Amino acid sequence: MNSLKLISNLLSHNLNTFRTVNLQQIRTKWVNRWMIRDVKRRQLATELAPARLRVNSLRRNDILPAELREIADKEIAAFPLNSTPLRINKRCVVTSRPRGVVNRWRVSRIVFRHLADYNKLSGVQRAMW
Amino acid sequence: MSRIYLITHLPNNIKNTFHNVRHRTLQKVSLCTSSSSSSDDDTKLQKKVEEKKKSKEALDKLNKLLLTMTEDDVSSKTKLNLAQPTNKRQKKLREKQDFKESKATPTETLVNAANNVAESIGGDVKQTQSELLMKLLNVANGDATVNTNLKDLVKGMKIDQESAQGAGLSKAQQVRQILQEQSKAPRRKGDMAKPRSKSAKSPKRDVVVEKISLFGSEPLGIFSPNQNDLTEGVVNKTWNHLYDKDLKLAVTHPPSNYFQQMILWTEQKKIWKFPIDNEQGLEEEKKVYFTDHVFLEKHLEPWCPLKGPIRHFMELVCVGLSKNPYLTVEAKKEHVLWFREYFKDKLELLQETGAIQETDLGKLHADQKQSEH
Repeated sequence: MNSLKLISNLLSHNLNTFRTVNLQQIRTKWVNRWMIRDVKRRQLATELAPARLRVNSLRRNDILPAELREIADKEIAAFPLNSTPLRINKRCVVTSRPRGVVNRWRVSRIVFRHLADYNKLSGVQRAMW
Repeated sequence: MSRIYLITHLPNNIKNTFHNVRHRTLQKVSLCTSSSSSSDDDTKLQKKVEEKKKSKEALDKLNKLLLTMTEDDVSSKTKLNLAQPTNKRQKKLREKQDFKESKATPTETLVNAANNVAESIGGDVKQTQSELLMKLLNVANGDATVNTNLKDLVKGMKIDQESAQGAGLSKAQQVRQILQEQSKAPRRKGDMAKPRSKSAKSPKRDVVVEKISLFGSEPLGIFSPNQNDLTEGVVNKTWNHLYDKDLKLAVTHPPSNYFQQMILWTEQKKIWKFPIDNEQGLEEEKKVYFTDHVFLEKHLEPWCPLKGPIRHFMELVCVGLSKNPYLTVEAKKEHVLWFREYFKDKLELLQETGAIQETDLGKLHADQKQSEH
């Protein structure tokens, strides 16, 4: 028990926050860690989107006094990094492929071709002209 | 007939209430009948109808009472009687104590028992006691004839038991008997069939086997024997969730044909409902009138200054919101009120910078002062 505690202390960066580190295997249905990260970012972004919009609206105008805008700048920087919509990346929903993603269906080109061939995509047909 | 049977087998207090209710209803019925004889025919009919209703109500009440009673019985039975762990040490101690207490020799116990019997019978205590002891001791000394008689008696009893059993044995019980006999009988064939691998391997003679007695010494008292002290322990959330899911799936049947599947999808809103309605899913929004969406200045009235940069800013915000078809009215209101809270916090700063001036707030303040007065 003592050894476990020591290890957990080493892993946790802040010694003040007595967080318990989970040393158990985490099993998810997501394909890989980048997909998990993307999911977390999306969730956080949706949560904090209204607040971010409001603070941003205070920044982006020349009506309010400059001091207020500066304070708003600092406030928006204080938001967690993963709440920015810019950090979200469009990966394939099935294979987590970062490139070659057909946006409308949110899948990679390979999965898209597979589904289209098996007639699973409405209105998608092999082009012939 | 069945009703009477039920009443007789109820506990006394409930029986009394039952009888009271019935008595009351009978009284009411009798009253009605007595009154009807004196009145006219029309009123007679009405009163008869009333009587019937009252008797029906009484019967319903009685039935309800019975139901509640039966429910209570069931609930009391469903209390879990879980197996308690046997405290072998305590049992042993008790046995030892009993043994110690009963230090009296068997003859002394016999004498005491005979004395008790004689006292309970009454009459000449000593004579009865002596007679009893004589008979008992004679039996103990042992006459052959006496013994054989006893044996026959015992045998006879055994036979009777078997015959009684044979008459009332069901097939299941017969099968169970056969299995028991089989288990008791020595398994010679089975033993031979087992390959004697253990004899081939040489036993580990080097290892010294220490015999550990688990219950040799006194317990440490870490764990309490009371069942109430036991807690649930680890709760497997995922397991429970999946178990519930499994149960639901077991009960619900998947669609047997495509029509049923289409119905399911329509209910899940995966498919359009016919006739096609472009505003499917926007039923709540239809109830809201467009003015609530567009005229949002009313939310600015109580707090916003009438002039100045803040007013300008908030008016722009309202214009933007009025053009937004995607938000609900509540969301828009929340948006405006968030700004109110924000500017409240920053009031001092705004006054310093000159964003909020007394002239802007003038009319607002005046209105507030008037309302106070």
